[in-house]
Amino acid sequence: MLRAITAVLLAGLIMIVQVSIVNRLPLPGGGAPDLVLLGVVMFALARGPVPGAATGFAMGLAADVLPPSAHVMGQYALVFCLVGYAVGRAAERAPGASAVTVIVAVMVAPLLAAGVGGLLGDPRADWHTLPRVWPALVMYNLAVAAAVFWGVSRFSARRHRREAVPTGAYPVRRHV
Amino acid sequence: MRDTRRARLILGLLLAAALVLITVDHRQRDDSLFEPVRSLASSLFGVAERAGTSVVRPMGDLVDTYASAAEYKRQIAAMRAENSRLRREVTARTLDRQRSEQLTRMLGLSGMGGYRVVAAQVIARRGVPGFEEAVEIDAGSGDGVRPDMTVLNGDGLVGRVAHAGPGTSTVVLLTDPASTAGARMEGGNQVGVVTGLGPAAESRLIRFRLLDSAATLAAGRRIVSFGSENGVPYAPGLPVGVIERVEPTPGELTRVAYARPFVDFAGLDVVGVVVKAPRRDPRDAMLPPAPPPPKKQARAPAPPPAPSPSAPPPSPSPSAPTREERRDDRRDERRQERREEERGERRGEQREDPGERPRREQDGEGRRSGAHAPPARRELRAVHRPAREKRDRHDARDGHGRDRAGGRT
Repeated sequence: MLRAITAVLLAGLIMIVQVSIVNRLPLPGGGAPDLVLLGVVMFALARGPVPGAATGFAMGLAADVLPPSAHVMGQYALVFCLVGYAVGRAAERAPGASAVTVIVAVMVAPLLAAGVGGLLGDPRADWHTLPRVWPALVMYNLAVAAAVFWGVSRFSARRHRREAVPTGAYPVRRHV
Repeated sequence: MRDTRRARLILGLLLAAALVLITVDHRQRDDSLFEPVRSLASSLFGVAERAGTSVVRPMGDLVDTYASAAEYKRQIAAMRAENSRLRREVTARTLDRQRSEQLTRMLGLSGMGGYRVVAAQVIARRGVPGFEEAVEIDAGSGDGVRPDMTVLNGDGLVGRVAHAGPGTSTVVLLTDPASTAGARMEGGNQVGVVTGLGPAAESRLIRFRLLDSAATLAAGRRIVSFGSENGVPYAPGLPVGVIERVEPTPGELTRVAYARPFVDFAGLDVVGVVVKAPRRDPRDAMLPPAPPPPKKQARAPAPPPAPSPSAPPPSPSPSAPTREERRDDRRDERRQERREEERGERRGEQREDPGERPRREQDGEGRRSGAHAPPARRELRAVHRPAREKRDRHDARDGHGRDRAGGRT
């Protein structure tokens, strides 16, 4: 229960940070990291396809009603739901290649969002805009994802190593 | 295996739910079923965004202070220079205003109605992750903001209000590819459409499509908003941008140019919402002081005859010599006669505003009385006309193309 409340609050905080801080930074290249997408990807990696899809749907719906919105409702719910499911499925099938999964997901998600927008006849998503925006988007997202990975692995690795090392496995060292 | 089936079922259900949402919202774009949901979310998240912005702003200000101290020094010097120049201008402007008031009273027209503006701050922005250029401002329906109102800042047109929540509202920027606004070249009446180019152009350029392929488009000309009916969604006369380069489009019906907006969309902070548009189109009055005047060759070879009686003749820049003025006056009178004939021809085709004829006669009196104030006169003659008639005039102009080429009829 407490964990669920924490998760909901954290999701809300991520969205607020995204729209009121990250998107207002004058970053070069005309892009910005998409923290909501990264949150969905990380959650799906940790929990698997069904929770990933459900969380993606919920986060996408929240991103749809988040105040500066001028698109059709449900667009991001669809996109993030698909991304969450695919990432969770990939994490199940290939547990070792989570870095590759994250990279592929971050690359595909903007294309998917643009594709859904294009299918709905949104004039913002067209073939001229996408190639110019897409590289910057992917770069920023990958940078943030790498930072998150590094932090997580650093904080969890120490604990894992302590559990994994059987006692008395070290050879006796002689200090010369 | 069963787990996979269950997962697929859940995924299918969620996707179906998303598609239903999309369909319902897409079908009823104007008054969506989800309007209450949106307004609830805007009040909830609006509070949070406001709080977040108020937390972050001091930090950003601190960083900004240290990062751009040198630039501030430069800016202060520039501002001082500008201040002294403006002080000089204000004295001249006062005299001008008195004269303009007298003229206005003389002609019995209402003065230039100003804009009524509600000031607001940008508290959130949705940028590239959504491909849309929209910002959230901290003024809502409680402050008198309604959807489809014009948003401006000190430099010019910013965009229009898309949703208005109770305390916050969403503004779609001019650089959003889905937003289009009517626009007009300064000093003339060539109408065009301004479209955003989105994040691909990094909010630095907008596309301007001129509807008349024969009109001259040159870099350095400025664009003002054309206005919509009753000033909704776009109020007239707001500075939009400066044309930067012209796209060669041989054989097309429209000319395309790329303009640099006056507003810095990357650093948008304090904006104003126009809650009441001016009663009459202020034409070019709101443009910043003109750069060095364009050369005479840049003008159209022969300005097109405007069939509508109250249309302002495209006159040269105010700094032109008086001889030019006088020749223009003579041409005006010639055009006046030609208009009379045309009106005779077109009486069956086009409905006329009965109020325009007496005004035109008054206008003629005003000119005969020898008031030599070209810019003021131009403003007085400018009457806000809905876009439909403008377009009609545009079509009517094509019929007289041969007259124009032959000089006199």
